[in-house]
Amino acid sequence: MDWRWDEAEREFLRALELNPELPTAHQWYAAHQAKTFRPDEARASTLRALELDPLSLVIRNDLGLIHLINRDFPEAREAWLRALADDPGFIIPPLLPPSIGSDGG
Amino acid sequence: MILASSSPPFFLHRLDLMEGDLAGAEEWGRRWAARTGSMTVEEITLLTRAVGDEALRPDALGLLDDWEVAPGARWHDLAFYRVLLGDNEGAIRVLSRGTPGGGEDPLRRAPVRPPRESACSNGALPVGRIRVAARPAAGLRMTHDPAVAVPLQDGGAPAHMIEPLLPVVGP
Repeated sequence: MDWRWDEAEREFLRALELNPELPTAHQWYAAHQAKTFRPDEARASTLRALELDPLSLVIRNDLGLIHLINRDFPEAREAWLRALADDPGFIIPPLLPPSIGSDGG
Repeated sequence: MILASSSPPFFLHRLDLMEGDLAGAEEWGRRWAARTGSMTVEEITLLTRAVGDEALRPDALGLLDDWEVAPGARWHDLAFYRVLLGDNEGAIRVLSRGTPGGGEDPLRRAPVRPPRESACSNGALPVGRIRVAARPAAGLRMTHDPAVAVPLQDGGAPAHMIEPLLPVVGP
């Protein structure tokens, strides 16, 4: 895997230009912003994604992580508790076999 | 056993550990383990209790040793527990190595975080002090191909992509 961060930035911005109302675009752009050490921007993008899709548990789960990155521990806790309040059984399952890089639970 | 994490119960377990609430961490951890099977209830209980009980640390570190050589182990989870257990050198070793199952390779073409001034009271490296180099640092070598599959969630869930490398351990 090659890490073409600048190219990713351009593609995210293009996606948002094409559809600024797409929650997933904001959500994934937030991940990119977090990975490129722009936590404040990542938080804004995640909040925008949640505004567009307020029932999304995965986005709310991400919001907790963004708050954690921003050292907002109480806010992180609130986001995760809120996700569990909306769905006590909420779990992101593993989708790939461990041998090729699974992530889940 | 494979470590896996991306869901609220596990994050709350980790957050409680970071804030020193071992009872809360154990409760969330047991709930997460029972629900996912990613590790056993006994294993996460051992790891949690060992944070506050040095007598349990050899067993806990032995468990991490076993996981470190297992396929699919997530290097940042392993490093997280090692720091909490006082094994900073082991944490650095894990972070330096990374694993194909860890979601990404920390030493391959990742962005470099700007330096931060914060420091941990226990001597652990906070996130901001870990510079992610574009190539292996002196004395390190790459042990695997950097190609890593990126797991996708239904509807897009990049939590695995934004999970902090190594959260700051609280005082």
